[in-house]
Amino acid sequence: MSILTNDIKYSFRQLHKNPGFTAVAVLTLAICIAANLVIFAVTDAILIRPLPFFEADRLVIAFHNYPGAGIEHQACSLTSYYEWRETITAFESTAAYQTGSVVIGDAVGQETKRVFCERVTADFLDTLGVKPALGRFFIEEETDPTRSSVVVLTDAFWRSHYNADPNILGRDIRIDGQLTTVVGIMKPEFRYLSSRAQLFLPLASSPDNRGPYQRHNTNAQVIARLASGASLAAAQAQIDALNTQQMEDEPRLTKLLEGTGFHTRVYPLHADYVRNVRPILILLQGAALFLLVIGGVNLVNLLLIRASGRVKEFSVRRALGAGRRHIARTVLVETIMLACIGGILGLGVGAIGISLLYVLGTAQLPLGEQIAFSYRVATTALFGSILVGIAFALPVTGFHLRKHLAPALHSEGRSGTVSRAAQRLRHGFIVAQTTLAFLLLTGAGLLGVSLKHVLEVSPGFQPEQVLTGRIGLPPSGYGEESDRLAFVERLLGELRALPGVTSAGVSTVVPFTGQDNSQAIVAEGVELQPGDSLRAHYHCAISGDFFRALGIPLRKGRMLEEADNYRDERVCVVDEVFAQRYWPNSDAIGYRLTKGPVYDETKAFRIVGIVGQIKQEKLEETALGAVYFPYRYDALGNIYVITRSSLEPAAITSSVREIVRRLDPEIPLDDVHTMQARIDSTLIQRRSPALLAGIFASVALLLTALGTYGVVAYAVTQRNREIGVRLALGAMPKQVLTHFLGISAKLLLAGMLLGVIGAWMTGRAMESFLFGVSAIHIGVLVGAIGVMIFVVLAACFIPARRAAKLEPMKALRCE
Amino acid sequence: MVKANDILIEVDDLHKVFITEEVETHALAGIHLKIRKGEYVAIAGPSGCGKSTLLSVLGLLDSPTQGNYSLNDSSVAELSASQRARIRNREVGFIFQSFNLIGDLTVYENVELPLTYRKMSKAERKRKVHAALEKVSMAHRMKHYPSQLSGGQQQRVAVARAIVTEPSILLADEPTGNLDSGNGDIVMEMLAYLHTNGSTICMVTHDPRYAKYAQRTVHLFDGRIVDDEKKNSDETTEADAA
Repeated sequence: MSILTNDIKYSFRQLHKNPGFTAVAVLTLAICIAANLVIFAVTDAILIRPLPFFEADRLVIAFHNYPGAGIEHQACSLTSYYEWRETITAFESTAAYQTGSVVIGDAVGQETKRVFCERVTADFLDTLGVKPALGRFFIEEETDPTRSSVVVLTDAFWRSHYNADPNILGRDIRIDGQLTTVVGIMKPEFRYLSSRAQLFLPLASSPDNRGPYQRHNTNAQVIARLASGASLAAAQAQIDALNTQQMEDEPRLTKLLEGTGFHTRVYPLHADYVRNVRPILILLQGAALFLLVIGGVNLVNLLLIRASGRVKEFSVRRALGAGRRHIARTVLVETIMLACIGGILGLGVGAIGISLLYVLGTAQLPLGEQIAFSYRVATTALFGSILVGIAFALPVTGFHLRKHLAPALHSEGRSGTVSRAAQRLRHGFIVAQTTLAFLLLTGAGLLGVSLKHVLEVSPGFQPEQVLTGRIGLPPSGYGEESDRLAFVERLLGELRALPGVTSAGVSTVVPFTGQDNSQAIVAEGVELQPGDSLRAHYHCAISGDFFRALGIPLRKGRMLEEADNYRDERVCVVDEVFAQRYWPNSDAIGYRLTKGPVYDETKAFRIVGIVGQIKQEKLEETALGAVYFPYRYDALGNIYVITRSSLEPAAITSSVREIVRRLDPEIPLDDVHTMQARIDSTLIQRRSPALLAGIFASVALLLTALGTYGVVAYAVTQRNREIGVRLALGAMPKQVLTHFLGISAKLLLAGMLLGVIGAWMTGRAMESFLFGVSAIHIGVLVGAIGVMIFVVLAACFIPARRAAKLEPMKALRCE
Repeated sequence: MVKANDILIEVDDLHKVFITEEVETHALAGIHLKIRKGEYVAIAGPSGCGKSTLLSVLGLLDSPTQGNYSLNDSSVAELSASQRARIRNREVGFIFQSFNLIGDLTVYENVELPLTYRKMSKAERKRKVHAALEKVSMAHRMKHYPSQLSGGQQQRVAVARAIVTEPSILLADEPTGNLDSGNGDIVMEMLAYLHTNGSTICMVTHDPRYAKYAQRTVHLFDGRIVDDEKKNSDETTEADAA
């Protein structure tokens, strides 16, 4: 123990004696470990850590897919839920849920508030393996819509709204204007995935909602817990068999689904929830590891250079009887100490980095709210630091122990110049660094170009100066379509009168809210071709100046008017993609269509106008085609207000809120955002990785520059005598300069050649999240090559110039 | 009597002062020296007397603090770094005590090195390198690296490198200092052979045994020439050492 203490003391003294080396090493490690820590905190929270439920690996989620109709990964249905819980024996428990929002307000006249909720089936908590903290969860009978309403509150909601009142159970609160009894409180740590729900309501449904013809209305997410010993494949096989049986039993349904390629897929709940961000997070973690390798290579180089200056010291130790174990321990203690100091500093920097992640919008990632600097993350970082320290010790120990390596790395005893082996080793490090930095640079470049291309995509409308907000009309007071229509009419009248507002409209959906509003729509007289099937299209119900407010251009015919809500004739407007799909060679205006899989003459809408295509969910999506109906024909309680103003949207926000409050004090306006903000929020999954990759690439460049500078500067110092010899033999200063720049150029070339091959492979791996960019992008490659040449040669220039300016005699005198 | 056109090197009142912190060291304190073409001069003296400094100044590796220096009738005391490099490459061949071969170059490449600093075709370089290596009997080792050679062999390669440019003068700084007596003798015989074939040689040595190979021995002490003796003659040549 005392020997180890001595080694620690000695190592500390050594590090203290070389403050320059120690500072560079510790800072390099701190930066690299912090980068890894930050990304690991994200990947751990999102990809690695199991969901906080009992045996979470047994939780699965199912989706209906209709690839032939262009619809995939759709929610299932209440029908499927009720069928599966009876027939799928591979599921121990099955549950369904719908995400929504409700207006809460405990008393008439009290200020109301819209909050998110989950409407869930009674077995929801059992499926997750969770119990409420207080009271109970729902019972099966409470999913009957005729029963009195009950609610379970989250702990946060209970604390914030009821001051954690222990007598809350059994109390009635007003939800959507109806008295609802609180029956339970959830545990503080409970959160279903990234749900923002503050309360849980029973997912009530009538027998009609559960019938076979509702099986494909994709109105409920279905999750399940695999039975003990049952596999995912077994569950999949049972669902496949059930689907086949149902198709055989119901020929009419089979005909409707013909060509759609309908199938159901079961996925592990966790894996499916994070599937969209998994590739980019793995890529970013890889980039952070690359950074660590670059920093590590730098430090190994520095350690070896330092070791070459301590050959005598270690020779003396060996001469005094130090064995291999002693030498290894001495080196190990020093490198681990160095790595741990860097690691601890990295923890601090990483903790700050993690706290700043919200700037990048990581909280909006699935499970992103769980990203935190935790004991688990800190332990992993410290453990990683120790591993790094051990890794550093290996080459240094080898240097001191291998009889032939030490002189090779030091110098040619008799010729007085550096050996080939030593140079090759160091040059290999530079090539490796250059290659990795090049990969990071091209990777960041591809993400940047991809983001640029996405940003260049027009949404199809003019988002500037547009303010949007959501209103939920509760069933109490707005139960009838006419009530909702009257409210919308009054609202639009008030909004139009607002100073600065140039146009105002409402719709059941606005683009870039993440809402899926696609549905099967059938056009009159259009026969399905062999191999074709029913298609889903975006649809929404609108009123007022919806198109003008969003800036959607009219291509032909006319726009919808408020009067269309009251005319006998049912009319609609389609976008150009829809028109082109069904009537490529004729004018779509005048043709008719209906919602749903079967054309119904009595419910058909006549097309009166064609508008421009707009993006619905994200800028890079492929258009499905869209149909706009008058609000009356889909008069949902949830509506969005859209205003275009000559003023900044922020300037009219409070006025719009006031108008809504004046019309009905119990209805809040929430989810208020400019249209541009909605578009920007969909870019987070592209912008943040590009920004992070850019930061990593910059740090990698800096480390490569430092590493190259260090190695060339060291080479110049080590080769002073050689430089003296060259000068003595008649080399001119510029020839010496060119000589060293040439060495760097060769290494740079080798690194970039490997880098180009690696960049191609990296680009291939990144293809799934690139947009409008191929795996090899000439502009990115040329740019990366240019940056690398500039950085590496600039880093070499200073020591090379110093070599060129050496006095021959001074150089020859150097030992 | 020395004919003016026979003089290769002429230094007049040469001084070299090293200043380190507060200490001034007069390494050369007024050297007057002439070396004729084809002459073999040994510079001898105790350690620290200025032998190597004088050789460095003569080889244009260092500049004098004061004094005149003419090489081949041209003043070379105040030249730019590039001009000095050009003259070193064309007029001077160096042989160092520690050989100073470049470890990551082969024997051939080491000898070729000074030729690469001037414009010359590859074929011409090859011819000259082969000739130089033949002269020192090292042609058979041209693909070897310095680390694969003995000390004597390395110094022979260094000699080949010095003569490959056909310089006006060979400057040898303790060429046997790192060699055993056997290899030392071989190198000295080689220099004698080169002198016999017309080379001008100026060699620093502190070993009287090797100084005897030279026609003339200049003795330095405290940066001054204290004696200049010619072989086969007991008298000191005043014209050569003023």
